[in-house]
Amino acid sequence: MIRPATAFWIVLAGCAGFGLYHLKHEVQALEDQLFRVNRSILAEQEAIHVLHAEWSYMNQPARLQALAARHLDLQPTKPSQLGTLATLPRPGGEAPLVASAPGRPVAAAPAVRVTSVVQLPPRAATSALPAEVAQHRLPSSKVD
Amino acid sequence: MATRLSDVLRSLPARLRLEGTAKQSMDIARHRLVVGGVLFAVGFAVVGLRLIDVTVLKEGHEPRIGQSRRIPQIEHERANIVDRNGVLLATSLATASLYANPKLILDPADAAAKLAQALPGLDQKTTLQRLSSERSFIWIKRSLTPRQEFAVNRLGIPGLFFQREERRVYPFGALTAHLLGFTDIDNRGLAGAEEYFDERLKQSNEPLQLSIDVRLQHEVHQELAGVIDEFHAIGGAALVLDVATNEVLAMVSLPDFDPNNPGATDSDARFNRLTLGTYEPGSTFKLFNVAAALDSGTTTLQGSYDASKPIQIARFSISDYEPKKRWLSVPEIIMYSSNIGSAKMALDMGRDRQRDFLSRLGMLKAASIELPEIASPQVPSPWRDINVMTVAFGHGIAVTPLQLVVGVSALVNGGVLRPATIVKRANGELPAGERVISTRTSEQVRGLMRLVVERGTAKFANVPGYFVGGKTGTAEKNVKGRYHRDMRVSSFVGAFPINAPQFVVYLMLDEPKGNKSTYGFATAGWVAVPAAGRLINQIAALYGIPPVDPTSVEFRDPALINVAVR
Repeated sequence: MIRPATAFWIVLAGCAGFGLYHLKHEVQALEDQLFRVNRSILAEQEAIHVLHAEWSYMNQPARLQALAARHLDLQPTKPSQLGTLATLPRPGGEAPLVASAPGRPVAAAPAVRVTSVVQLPPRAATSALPAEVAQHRLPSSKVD
Repeated sequence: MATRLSDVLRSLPARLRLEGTAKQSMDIARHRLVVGGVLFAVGFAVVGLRLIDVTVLKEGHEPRIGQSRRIPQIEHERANIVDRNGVLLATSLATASLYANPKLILDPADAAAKLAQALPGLDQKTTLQRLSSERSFIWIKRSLTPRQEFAVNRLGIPGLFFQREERRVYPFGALTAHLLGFTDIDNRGLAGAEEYFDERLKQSNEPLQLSIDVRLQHEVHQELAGVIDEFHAIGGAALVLDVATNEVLAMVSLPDFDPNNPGATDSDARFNRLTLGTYEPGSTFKLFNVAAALDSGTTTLQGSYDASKPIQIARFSISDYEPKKRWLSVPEIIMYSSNIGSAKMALDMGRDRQRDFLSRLGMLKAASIELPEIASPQVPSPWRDINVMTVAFGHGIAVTPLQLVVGVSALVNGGVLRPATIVKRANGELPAGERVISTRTSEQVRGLMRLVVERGTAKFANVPGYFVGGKTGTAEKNVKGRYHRDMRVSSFVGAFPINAPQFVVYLMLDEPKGNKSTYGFATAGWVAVPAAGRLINQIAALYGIPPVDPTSVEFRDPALINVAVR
């Protein structure tokens, strides 16, 4: 005949044991899951890494250029297509802040203030140089 | 409990009463029991209290936040290399390498036959030989494709194993070949940045950010390849430098090679002409000559020299390519690229000033850049008067193009020399540099460079809207002590916008041949300059630099000098 107290302790110990067993298995399952997740994180990282390399490979400028030439109706940008906000005409028909509008050929404008390079006569000495300093460019035929 | 025990003993019937020695030993036993009992009681009490402490008092509840372990990170043997915009230039990809333990191979002949079938390119005979050896480790093949790995696995031969290895991959292939270099199969850097930064790449997994812009690199590569093809040159090189920081934005040397397969190339293709090649720079060197003369005050922009007849010295004769046969002003000497005028200017300045200036400009020692392929310049020794004259127009001295470009960058940036770098500088980080010429001289040199493009030998580089300035150089190649008229190095070095330079562009062709479009000329003005002009166009478009109207008031920059002769 088992006394009630003994029975109580036996049941309690049994429950605790089962609980512990159950918990241990749960933890083990979670550990496994964590391991698998970590493994797949690494695999994904590796895959991302490969994709980065592939992205770079696919974005080779030479390849993009060939594709653009084949499929797009685009041309390389010309400097005359570039402008700043300041070159846009202001509302009210006023002139732009800066004279060169994108469409305007800047080539036609005279270049910098290189005023003149005077040719020296063949037998000229340093002291006998002409004092003339032209303010504007000489006709290009003179120097070319 | 002890008292209770003694009570019990005392209450025992009289017949159990012990006397004498028996009683004494009984007492001893009793005391020992008491001591033991107390010890155990204290022990259990401590354990109990500790249990209450940890389960109820301290952490009486489940942790609210799961304590995660560190998320794993892939560690690579070598760090990535990226360009200035973060584009991946070099990376390590995992591959499987096949090795065998011959001691575990049961039938080497069968294994070799099967392997040769599964792995094309594998020699059956040598494999059999190696599989039959007495060693316990032999590589069969490195870096298998996943398909090959599967095929080998399917053979099911015992004694074969895979080793995870990393292989260096360069997605842009030849485009960045000389800059990046390459590694061997064991991932040791053997050339270029891979070699220079070998330790850094192995130690840290942080990507290494270079200063080059792969888009610009492509533009430069394409332009250079095109012009080499057009003029049947044996090679060429181009360099673009950011003047503000001296960062290398593009560095191309042709012919080049595929760094993914460096073994398949010859040494000529691996040769970086920009850093390892030394060339007589020719007329581009006249910029340094005139800068030195102007800075030392031995001449001014108003000065002039007699270039009416060739200079005869010893058995040499110094003449002009297109003789004007008259006195030339200093701007004209640069504009027409007069050797005679430059030589006389140098003589005026003297040997010591010339040598000292070139030394400060870094022309007499190897350039400093983060690449292992660096050549030392060839400088005259002893430095005689004849050398003073030839060095003035870039002959009798051979420097690397890199040195030349860095020197020109110092001339145009206001006069401060800084070493070039292939590593992206952090924002605002700039080495102090060393002043080589005054700001005023820098302005004057820029004016002269502009003059060359506007009216001199580099007219084809005149890109409307961007004030390009530059200087051409055509040097006959010196092969075994003899100069060859038909073997030239034609180069152009330019800066733009010349009033406040942002870029220095250098383009060089090795042995170009003239064609119909150039009327048979292969001088720099005909072959290198037009390509440089197109390149400048593309650089401007790439970085969205709006063209300036030269007639606008605000552009009349004081940087542009008045190149007039008095």
